[in-house]
Amino acid sequence: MTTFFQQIVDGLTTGVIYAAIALSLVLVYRTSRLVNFAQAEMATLGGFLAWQLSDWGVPFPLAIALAVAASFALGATMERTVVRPLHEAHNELALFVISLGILVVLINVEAWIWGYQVKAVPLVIDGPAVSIGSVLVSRQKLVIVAVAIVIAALLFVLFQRTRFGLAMRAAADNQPSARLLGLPVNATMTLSWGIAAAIGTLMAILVAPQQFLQPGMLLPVLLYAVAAATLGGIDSPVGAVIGGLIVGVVENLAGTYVPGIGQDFKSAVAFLIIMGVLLVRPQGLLGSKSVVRV
Amino acid sequence: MSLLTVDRLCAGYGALRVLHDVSFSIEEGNVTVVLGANGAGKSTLLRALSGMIPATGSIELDGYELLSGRRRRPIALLGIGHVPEGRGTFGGLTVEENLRAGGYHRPRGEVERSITEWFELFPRLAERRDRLAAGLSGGEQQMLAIARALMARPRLLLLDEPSLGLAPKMTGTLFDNLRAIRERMDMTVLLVEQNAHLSLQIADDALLMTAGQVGPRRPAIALREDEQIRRAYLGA
Amino acid sequence: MSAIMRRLRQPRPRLPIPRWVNLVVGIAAFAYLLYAPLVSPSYSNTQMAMVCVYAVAGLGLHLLTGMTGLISLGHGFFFAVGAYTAAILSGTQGWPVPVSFVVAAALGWLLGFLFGLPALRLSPLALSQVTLALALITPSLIKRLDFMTNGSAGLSVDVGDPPAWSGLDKDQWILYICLLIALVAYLVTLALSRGRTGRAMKGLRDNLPVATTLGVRATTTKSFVFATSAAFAAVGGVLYTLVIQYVGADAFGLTFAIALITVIVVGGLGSVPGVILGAVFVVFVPSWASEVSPSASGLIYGVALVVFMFVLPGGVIGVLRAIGHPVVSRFHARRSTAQPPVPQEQEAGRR
Ligand SMILES: Nc1ncnc2c1ncn2[C@@H]1O[C@H](COP(=O)(O)OP(=O)(O)OP(=O)(O)O)[C@@H](O)[C@H]1O
Ligand SMILES: [Mg+2]
Repeated sequence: MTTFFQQIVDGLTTGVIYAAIALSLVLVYRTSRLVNFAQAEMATLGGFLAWQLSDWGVPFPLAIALAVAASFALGATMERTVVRPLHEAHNELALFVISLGILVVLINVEAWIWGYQVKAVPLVIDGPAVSIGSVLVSRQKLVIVAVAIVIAALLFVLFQRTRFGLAMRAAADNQPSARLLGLPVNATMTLSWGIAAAIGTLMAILVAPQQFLQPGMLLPVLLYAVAAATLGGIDSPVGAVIGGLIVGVVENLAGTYVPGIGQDFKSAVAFLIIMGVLLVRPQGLLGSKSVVRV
Repeated sequence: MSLLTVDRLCAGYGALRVLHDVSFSIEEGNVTVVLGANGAGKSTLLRALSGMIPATGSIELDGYELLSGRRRRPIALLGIGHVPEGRGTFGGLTVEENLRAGGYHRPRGEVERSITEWFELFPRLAERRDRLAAGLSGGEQQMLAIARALMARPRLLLLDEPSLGLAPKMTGTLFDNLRAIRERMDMTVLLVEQNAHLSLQIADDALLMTAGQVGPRRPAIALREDEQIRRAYLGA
Repeated sequence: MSAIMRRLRQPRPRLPIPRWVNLVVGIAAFAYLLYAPLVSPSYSNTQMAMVCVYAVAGLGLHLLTGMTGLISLGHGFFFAVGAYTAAILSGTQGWPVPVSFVVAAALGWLLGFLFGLPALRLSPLALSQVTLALALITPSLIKRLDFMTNGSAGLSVDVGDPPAWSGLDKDQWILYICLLIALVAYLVTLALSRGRTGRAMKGLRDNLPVATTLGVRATTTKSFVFATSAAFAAVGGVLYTLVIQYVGADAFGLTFAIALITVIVVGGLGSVPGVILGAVFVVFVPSWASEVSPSASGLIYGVALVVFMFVLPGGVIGVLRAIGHPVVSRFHARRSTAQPPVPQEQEAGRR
């Protein structure tokens, strides 16, 4: 029974990471109608930036802050330069191909600069694992969970309690109408990309000690994040969080208890979730129906 | 005095040109109805006026040229409200949030006051203020779309077929509401409507549109009596 | 958008090259390809053979993406199916290579069809999500089936030895096989895209409702296209095993799937000859670039995808058309007074 609870808790702590990347995917999808397959790699790039800065002697907290800020700028710039013209031209195919192109560019730029040797990113917090009842959780994982909760809370406040957040939701809901009302649609799109990239980077830095920082570090996570976003509803931020947690737990339990899956083939679970959800309930748990229409 | 003067306006979609040298003007404070067959270009005209599609020619709002200048300001800030065909409410936002989005550019206090005001006028919306707009009936959504546009206190309201898809009774209520709004606010309205019978009753002026061109402006009352118009639009 | 960008992005019509010119050039190229393997060094034969590998798989993807507008990252999977079919049947079991081709094509078609049954009910966006997942799990799937595939270690094989009567070296023999299959694939693709099916597919891509009312049964056509394109990919996989003589799980992941997309994008989406140019690109350009840095070759894929999609959506073919247009039209002008009609993209009135 202890293993079971341990599996659940492990699943939840991993699920938090999936949720964060899924949240990035959702934020971007809502503004640009693109599932940005480069999202996870943008986060990894941010992880490299933080490592590089701290390697140069910048204090780690400052390095994190700078890397997050740089990622924000990178995400925002991508939206302004490449994404928006294609989004306005409704060229989904081109957007999709370009997101793949950016993914490949980022992986290879990272490899060129930093190589494939794993970089040692420090833990933000050290010390023995904390035991909750019979379940053990590492301190770093607790930090990750705490950070994720703070991110979720801040996004909630932004979306639900601020005027600009209202504009962001309105623009995601119906762009032509939002423009007619004079809402700052372009600014909401740029900001969404920036926030998405910043969240990803923050998570990448926090998981780097355990995931091993190297080019393509988060590609496996991307698979689960896509599954999480699909399950929660590709345009629903709350859905992304719930989906991430569910995927984390299911994946962990399946890896342990379902014969024939095993630890190495857990990724099949993600594939099955994506396929199953899209077939049975394309809008996911909390997504809006209209989005699914072709 | 005319509030809006349109001169040799051309617009369309990509290579398809829909409006051909459209020129007309509308009087401040009046309701002007645009009548025309399906596909005549009525919606396109409104879209061109509110900058949803590119256009050439001249659109002057109270002496201010909308088509010149490199960067256009949002039309909401220029005093034009547009309720598009098919309503365009924010389905994932609550009724109240829809209204708040409409008042985005106005000070918070005024927004609160306006919301109370519109809820008084549309009690059906007040009852549903915390529901998602997607869950409203067609007529309620239409009311919401109009109220949302009015939240910005436009000087010119463009209304595209508000009665589309509404039951006759609902249409009646809608036009009663429009009348009430008219009395309350000093506003100019450009109304596109299939229901010529009702719209000619609240309109002051009328424009006839055929194949991307707009005819001369005529008093609505004259059209109500015009034998040809009655046959073409009023089905009498 | 600046005027330059607009010019670059402008779609280019097919050049009005007379049929006999095409035919002469085609036959000349073919004759050269028959001759070249005999006198080329073995590494260059291998590179040419790789071009054929990418061309065959790329033609399959072209059928799907270029013509229906659907996109698949999953073709690396079908490619792997073909590659392992050849490695296991002809390598481990020692069956003749033609058997591998037939089995791989059939298996690819069947798996493509089965995958398409649910997947093609999805929106294009959802299809891209599902196929991304397929690409990401393909290596783990191969490793999971290690009793057949030998897991990460992979299978080294010795297949496709030239028959004694031919007097050819192995690399020459294999290149001839690749050329033959590529030629067949090319002709089949041309036939499919010009015939009834092609029109149906274009209809699907451009305007589903119209195509549906014209009596094109959307799902049937899509399933057929998807299965056929998967079969192409599988045949490409067989060629891959012949050329490389080794299959390993990690070769068939996301990077490979993206390389296939690069093949059809660089040449020019929707253009059959463009696929060949794309295949040449993904084989030769990265191998030159890797002299600079091992990452440079991957970087070029990525940059090519972005640049070609964003700036030059017509691909290399589009560029060639733009360059060739003045030449060809002058040629026509001299021969007859009638200018070929060139559809011009009309500029809408802009604010
Ligand atoms: N988004 C669009 N893209 C391309 N063409 C369009 C678009 N919208 C309208 N058109 C074309 O423009 C012409 C005028 O359409 P418009 O919608 O302005 O007509 P309308 O007078 O509003 O008709 P209705 O009474 O049916 O609403 C039609 O021929 C239509 O096919
Ligand atoms: Mg209309």
